[in-house]
Amino acid sequence: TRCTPWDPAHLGTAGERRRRPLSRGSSSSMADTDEQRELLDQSTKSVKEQAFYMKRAMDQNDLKEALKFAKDMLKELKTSSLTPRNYYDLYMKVLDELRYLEEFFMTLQRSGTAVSELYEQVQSCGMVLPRLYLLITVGSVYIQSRQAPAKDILKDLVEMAKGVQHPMRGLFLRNYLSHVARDKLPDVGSEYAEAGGGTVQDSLDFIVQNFSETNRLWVRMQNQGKVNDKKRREKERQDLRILVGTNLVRLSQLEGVDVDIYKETVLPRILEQVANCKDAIAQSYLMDCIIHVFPDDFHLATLEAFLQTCTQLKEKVNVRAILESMMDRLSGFADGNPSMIPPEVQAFQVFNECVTKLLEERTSLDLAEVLRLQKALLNFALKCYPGNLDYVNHCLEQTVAVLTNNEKGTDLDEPAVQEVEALLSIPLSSLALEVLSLNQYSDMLVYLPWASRKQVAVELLRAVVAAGAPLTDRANVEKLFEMIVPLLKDNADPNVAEASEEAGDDDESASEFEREQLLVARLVHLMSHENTDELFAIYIMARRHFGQGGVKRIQYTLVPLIFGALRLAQVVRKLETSEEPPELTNSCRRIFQFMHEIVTAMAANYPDLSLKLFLQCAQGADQADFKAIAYEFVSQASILYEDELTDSKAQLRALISMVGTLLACRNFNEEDYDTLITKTTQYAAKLLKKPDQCRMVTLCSHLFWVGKESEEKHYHDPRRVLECLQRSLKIADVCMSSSMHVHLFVEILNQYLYYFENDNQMITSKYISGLIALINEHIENMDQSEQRAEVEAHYHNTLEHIKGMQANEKTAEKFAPIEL
Amino acid sequence: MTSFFSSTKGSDRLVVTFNDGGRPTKKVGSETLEIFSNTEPVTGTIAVNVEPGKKLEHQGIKVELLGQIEMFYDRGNYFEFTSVVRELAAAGALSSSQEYPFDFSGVDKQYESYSGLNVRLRYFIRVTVTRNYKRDVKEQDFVVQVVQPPPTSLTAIKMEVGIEECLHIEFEYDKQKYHMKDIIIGKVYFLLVRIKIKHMELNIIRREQAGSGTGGQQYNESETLTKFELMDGAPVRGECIPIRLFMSSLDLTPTYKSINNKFSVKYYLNLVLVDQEDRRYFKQQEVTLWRKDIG
Repeated sequence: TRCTPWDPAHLGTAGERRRRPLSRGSSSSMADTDEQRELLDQSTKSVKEQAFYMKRAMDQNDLKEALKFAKDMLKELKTSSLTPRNYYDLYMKVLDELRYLEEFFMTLQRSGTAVSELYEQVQSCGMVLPRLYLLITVGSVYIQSRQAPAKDILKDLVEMAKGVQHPMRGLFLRNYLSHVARDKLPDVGSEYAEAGGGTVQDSLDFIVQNFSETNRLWVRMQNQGKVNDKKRREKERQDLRILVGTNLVRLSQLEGVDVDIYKETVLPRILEQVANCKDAIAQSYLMDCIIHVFPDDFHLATLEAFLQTCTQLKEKVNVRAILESMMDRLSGFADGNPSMIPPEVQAFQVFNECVTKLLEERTSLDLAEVLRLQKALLNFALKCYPGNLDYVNHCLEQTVAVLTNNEKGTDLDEPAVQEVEALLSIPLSSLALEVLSLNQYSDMLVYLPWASRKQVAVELLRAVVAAGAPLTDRANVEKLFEMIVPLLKDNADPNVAEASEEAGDDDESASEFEREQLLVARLVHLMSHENTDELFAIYIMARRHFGQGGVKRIQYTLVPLIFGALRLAQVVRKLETSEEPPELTNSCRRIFQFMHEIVTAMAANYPDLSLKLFLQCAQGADQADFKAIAYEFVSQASILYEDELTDSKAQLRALISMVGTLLACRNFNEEDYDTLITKTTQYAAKLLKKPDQCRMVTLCSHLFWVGKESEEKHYHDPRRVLECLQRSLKIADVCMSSSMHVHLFVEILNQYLYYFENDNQMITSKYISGLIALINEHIENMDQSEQRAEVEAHYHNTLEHIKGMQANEKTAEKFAPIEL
Repeated sequence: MTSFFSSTKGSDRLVVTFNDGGRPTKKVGSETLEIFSNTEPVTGTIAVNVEPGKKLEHQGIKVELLGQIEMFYDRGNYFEFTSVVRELAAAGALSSSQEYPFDFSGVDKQYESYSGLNVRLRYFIRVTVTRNYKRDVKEQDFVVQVVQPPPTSLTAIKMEVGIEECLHIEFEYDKQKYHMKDIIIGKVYFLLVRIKIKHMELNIIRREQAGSGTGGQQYNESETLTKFELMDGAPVRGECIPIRLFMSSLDLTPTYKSINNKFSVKYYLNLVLVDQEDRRYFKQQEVTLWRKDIG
């Protein structure tokens, strides 16, 4: 239909004269701010001035004048030149003054003026902005006077406010309306709901309408002004967003809004506004507002509707952030307790549907963002439904699907890698070893570069170790080893391998490496199975994997395996020697053989360590009464000692261990034992340093005096004992040339006393008396020093012991001959 | 009850007082005049003051009720549409002050008093004391107002107006006929907005048409009585802006149509949109104003 034309226009007629020229083309921002400050100062000054006259008129009870100055004051808010922040400053100053005006209206009302008349009177103001501020101010008094139903006034005000369509001025006007109305809304328990004042529904309508209008104005700001000001405008909009959000806060503060009303009325209307405004900034902000402003149970009741809207948002809106925020909120609420979420709310399913739909529709999302979505969902599943592996599996499945469809193949960019890494790490803390039952878990690992896989592997192991659940299933362990391959061996890719070796040079990555390997080592202690064959099979598998790890790794990984095997050997031996030995595939002997292989493999690179392990194995074999095996182990240790140990300190340590081992093993053939102890004593006598020689020979003397006479398995060779002691005295004597080693004599004295007490016939009181005389002499020759004091103390205590024995009835006879 | 009013012109000796002085008044220029309805009898008293000790001889005293239309462009000439004379006293002499009642019941006062830019319609009482060489004359104005019955049909004004592809609006005023203290309620609905509007206002315009429409000279004057801003800023499509204008604070008259074939007064609502280049787009609609109450 054709419509009537406008009346002939008077083109070019002068408009209202502008109060001030609009700022134009000021290039520097500095000038801008100066100009702004000046504008604000001027306006503020004017507001104060008019307010002064207004208040004076109020003092004289002159309504007409007061209104006139109020209008003049409010005129300042008509400015278009101030930035939002400065306009806000001005607005706040005007608001302060309007409070006086409201108070004045209240006084008039109390003294009998009909508020309806005031309400009409202020509407004669020709300018719309001042008129509406005044109308709202009177409206406030009108509602408080209860001379009209609150709902009617509110409705009228929110409708009339449409007169201001300028976005910024409108936003502030409506904020004033919202501010004034905040404590006058009819609500459950509110005085304004009484006597037909309105219901919560009326308040709801009011707030929602004001919200919608506010939002529309806010959105409209975006489309005003020049195109190249877009950035600045967006910033200005961000500055003003609180004016929009306040309305939602007010909604949430209504007592009368319960879950049902929220679901049926409130949220649909908000969401309608969100969807229809088609503005990315508004949609992001409002969705976030909804999440934070309303309580959890409201969200649970309306999750579907909320998520439905999420899929309708503009392309530019970061929906992932919104979803994540909502999931966080809900999982915070559930706090690991799924029963907090009503069963009819299938939270995971609806979130999942939403994510799926988003992925279908938003084809432009980059991979990392898609992965972040999955990550958020996964996090949610784990926090809200701990232990529900289906959900976790589902998330991972989706992720694998996404990765499989990725055009760029397995070559992921850095952010995507991080996300995959995170996706794999997240389930670990709560699921630990259970991730092994997630089908997709290892599939995903493939998409990660070596370093990231290693990182995931570390996380995995930490989780497994922290959980402490035993590793009993061979297939599972095998899977686990596959997943942690980056920890078990170097990257097959030579380039990367070099890099990692270079990196291995510095301390930090070296200790990093050590930490990683220790984690792997701790894994061994978790392996267990009641069936020894099964456990052994697991060990064999572990050995296979560890063995491929290269020289650097085995020192950490194989050692626990030896100890595990030793423990297993004990168990198997016990079974074998029981009255009805079960059918076992792997005998104890076989297990020792396994250990032997391992240690032998390590021997070349870690002789020190291997020697100790051999000795350890020897003890184990001895306990199991495998004489030959024990002999073999000790002899292997001896070979290592001879062939590989060159450092004298290492030799010393190794010898002490060997002596300890030989003393502990009680099942050797006498012949074998002879061989071994003779060899060991020879080693001791060949040590480089004299004091070491001296001490070790003394120690070796014990190899010839094992056990008590009464025991069945004892080995006593008193002559050799004496020989050893005399040999050590000789060595000590040589040492004396440096006169620093008097304490060696005291130590040897103690050994003499030990054998004397243990009834070694060869050790007589004559020797002891002689030695005491010798020590006395030596000590006298010593210079006064700390060292001398130490020696004297030791010596003194030893003599006290002898005196004690002499004093003791039982031993007095034996010890009497010793001359002190 | 009596009250005193200074007269516009004439002798101090004569004072015209209307009966029942409690009626409403209206300020016209510097004077406050009493208001009569068209059917109300105009009665009162004429006081002829004679200074004590003096004597007033006269050839007769008369009182007239006159209704005149004056055109300002034709000063001195006026058209008398009503003229009624009453003799108060035959020729004689007054030795003291004397009062004479007068009664103009049933005199036709069909038009309202009006004071416009080019034309004036006035009613007044004229007392004339004829003396030998001169006459004492006193004129006392009063205001006549005609209360009208409420209009039988109250149709709203609705109109769609636009510039092709540029600006289409639909506006609505709730009535076509308003009484003078009425409230104009309406709304403006924006169907299409392609120009950057700065603001929108509603003007009430009074158009006075004086002179005979046929052949003779005609004088038209328009007067904008109020500029009432309806909207600040630029609306978008679909926006609906409310209109609510209280007319009681404005100085209005009823619509006059060809009063005695001499003049007309019409009222228009003018909706004006101003864009950012200060171009004005407007649409005028005539509305009829009618008098509901005296005052």
